[in-house]
Amino acid sequence: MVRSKSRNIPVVRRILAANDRVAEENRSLFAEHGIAVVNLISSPGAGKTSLLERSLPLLGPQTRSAVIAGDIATTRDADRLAACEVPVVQITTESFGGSCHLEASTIRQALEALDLAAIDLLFVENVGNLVCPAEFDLGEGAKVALLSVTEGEDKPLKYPLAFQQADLVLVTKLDLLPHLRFDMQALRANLQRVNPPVPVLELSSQTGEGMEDWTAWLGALPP
Amino acid sequence: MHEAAIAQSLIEELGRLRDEGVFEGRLQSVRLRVGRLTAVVPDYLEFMFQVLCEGTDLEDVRLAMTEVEPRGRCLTCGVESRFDELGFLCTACGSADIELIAGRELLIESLEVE
Repeated sequence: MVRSKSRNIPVVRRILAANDRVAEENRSLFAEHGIAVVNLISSPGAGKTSLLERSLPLLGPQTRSAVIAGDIATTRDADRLAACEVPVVQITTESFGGSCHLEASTIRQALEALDLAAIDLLFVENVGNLVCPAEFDLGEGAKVALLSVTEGEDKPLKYPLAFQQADLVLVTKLDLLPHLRFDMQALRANLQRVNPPVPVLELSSQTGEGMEDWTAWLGALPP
Repeated sequence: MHEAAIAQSLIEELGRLRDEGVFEGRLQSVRLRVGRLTAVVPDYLEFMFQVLCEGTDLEDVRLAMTEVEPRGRCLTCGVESRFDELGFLCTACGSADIELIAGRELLIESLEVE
């Protein structure tokens, strides 16, 4: 029997090379227009939309903001944010196979609906999910992970990647603390384990507590 | 299940490698390097790859995976450490000022071609 010879060919190629390429194109486009881009990542219901509803009026008009909101279905987030009178593009990933995350190419498509020359700060509200979005570079300048106090202080240990990748962690729904058994020191220690240098801000989108530090952090972002 | 999106990217990247002339002939297996700090479950990725390749010329391609443990270099003392659990502290001096040098890979490492 003659066995055909097989050859081993070494390759070093990122599996997500195509996404990374588009992400870099997005990044150049943002740099060209001087736009700071923040990718908001959290589990569903951590308060991403509420945070934006509270933040957008505090930022404008000196900071011209815009939002790309990702969800699997419905335009509810865009409907809520419409009241903030900033440009909002809703992406529903249902038409992309109900994807659990946004990819660089979905962002690029959404950018076509925005006037980039009229934007200083772009928020990308990722699909509510602590696992999948962390793996996909969108071309953003910063990743912000949100964690609401109702989720428990061990979340960073259960979903390390999202918190490891974060440039900032926001602890949300601070107004609920009196009703919960939540150990803020334990949360901070857990964050320290997965991402020692990450800054942590505590806030409430309901009462507005802590919003100044958050808007100051946004204001200090490089374009 | 973002493993589906990753498997789809892998298939497209294999097509590009063929188009670029990196390989020709029948692809038998693909070896990947998957860092433990990626949000990828190797079994799911393999399953999604099989599902997406069904009925295509990649149908019989085997996927082999090398998992990569996290490693980091201490920015304080320069010593390299291997980590087997969360909380990356330098094994020599205890510093948390660590630059990760391995564990985030999601790479095509080699191709076996007939």
